[in-house]
Amino acid sequence: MEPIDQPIETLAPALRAGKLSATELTEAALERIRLRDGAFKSFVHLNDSAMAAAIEADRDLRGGHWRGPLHGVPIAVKDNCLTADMPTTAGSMALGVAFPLVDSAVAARLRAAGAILIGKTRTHEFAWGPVCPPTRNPWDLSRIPGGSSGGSGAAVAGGLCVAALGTDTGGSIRIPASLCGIVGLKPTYGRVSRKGIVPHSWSLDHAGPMTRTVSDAAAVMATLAGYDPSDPACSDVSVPDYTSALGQSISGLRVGVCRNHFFGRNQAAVDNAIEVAIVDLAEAGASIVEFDLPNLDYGLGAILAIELASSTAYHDQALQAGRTAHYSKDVRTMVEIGRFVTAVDYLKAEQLRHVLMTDLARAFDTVDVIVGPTVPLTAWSPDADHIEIRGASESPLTASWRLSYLYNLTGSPAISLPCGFDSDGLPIGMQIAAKAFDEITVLRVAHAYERRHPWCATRPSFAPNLAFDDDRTAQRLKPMA
Amino acid sequence: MSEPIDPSVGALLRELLGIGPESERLDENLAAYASILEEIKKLRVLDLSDVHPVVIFDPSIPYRGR
Repeated sequence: MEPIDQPIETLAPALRAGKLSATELTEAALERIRLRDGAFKSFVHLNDSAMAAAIEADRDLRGGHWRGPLHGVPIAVKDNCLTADMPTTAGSMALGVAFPLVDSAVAARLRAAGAILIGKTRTHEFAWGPVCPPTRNPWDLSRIPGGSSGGSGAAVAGGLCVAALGTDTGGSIRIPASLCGIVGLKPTYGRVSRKGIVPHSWSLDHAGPMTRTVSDAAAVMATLAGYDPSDPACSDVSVPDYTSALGQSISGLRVGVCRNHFFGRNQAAVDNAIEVAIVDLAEAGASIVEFDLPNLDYGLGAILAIELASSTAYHDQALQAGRTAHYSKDVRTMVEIGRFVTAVDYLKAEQLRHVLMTDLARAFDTVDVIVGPTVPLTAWSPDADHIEIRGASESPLTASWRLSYLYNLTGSPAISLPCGFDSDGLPIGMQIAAKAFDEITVLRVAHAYERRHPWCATRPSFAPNLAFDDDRTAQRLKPMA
Repeated sequence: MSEPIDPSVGALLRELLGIGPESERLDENLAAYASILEEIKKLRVLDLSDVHPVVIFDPSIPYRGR
């Protein structure tokens, strides 16, 4: 296995001991991008300063100034997180859309930790969708990677970087993590600052890591988490040592399985993989507690009301100036129809949220985590305008969100990690959620499962050279000098 | 499908909803909203009058970090 494919827990000591250099790792990442990203289309920009940052990282390492486990590690940034040395587009090519060259809080934290910000990954325009065109899934190039953090999902799954940043408003970290066979952690709302992240829906937006392993997610979370008074929603809650969750037994932990809403409307392969994983968690010593959650039938209306109204408020000036006409068709429609959400509908959605949070808190009195599928299905074709599951037809947006949005409404931490493959060889994701600010238990259970079933060791296979078929992309991502 | 809306009522609705340049796409957008409205209508039947919305006004926000 090449160094770029190693987990951070292996890379960090090698970098610190001088057995591996940040320069070598960064060169390897850039070479991988050059060879493979013509097919994946996961990056929209490469960082001209990446090699200089790697040289500086090596200089610091040689001088004994080790900044932590991310020092010298190439990490990609979703293109809705502002960066001082790379342009941000939020996935939009529309006229009049421009963002400043400043670091978002998450980019600044990664940079301060010595990470090499390798480039910007593609997002569905304004993070408003599960498809992320034209990015393709490394497991099957005829399928989507999921979204909206689809570029980050494909880049990590495709071995183009060690980790990436994602953002999640209804599932946008966890959905591509599930579809791309990687780990994606949506932390508790308020755990990670959104300062400098292009807003989608203020009270639902989260930022978090997308990685190949659970321990990598813990390492990146340790850097991202922390209070930031410049984000009004950020909480001043102490940050535990996430790595202390790793390697812990789950014996005696109470694993909840919510039998309504999360099961019965999924592809059979998804349901089967999760049931097997639940049995496995029981064999690892957890006690399985089955229960139903009331009021989930109202959740979709609530998140749609909040997300649509918030997104339209954010885009209001563009809408009034007619600039949304230049947005992609699906995003333009979502931004325009937010006008139809009445103030009363919006506030009832915020009231319902309180009900759901109370219901979930009651459930967490009797369980430590809730497990279930992340997405009802595996990666689908980009041409699908409807999705059929067990005879029922749904839009890709509502189908892909169905199992993830609850934890945006409640702000609970939730992770997706691989738990198997379907008969087409496409990854299936398991979701593990816990009560607010209990990421450490989420990581503990996820790591315990991953150690018993290291699905992360199975990687997509690639042709030796996946050539670019888009001249503009190839030009923008030309190899570094 | 419902009957065509009286033009003056339609104009008033557009003004109430703040619909501007996108008004030429009103029919298309209403059609796109139909399935979403079905979900939102489920909320409308709930009696939540005793439930505080989860968004809570906090007058201390401007003083944070000072």
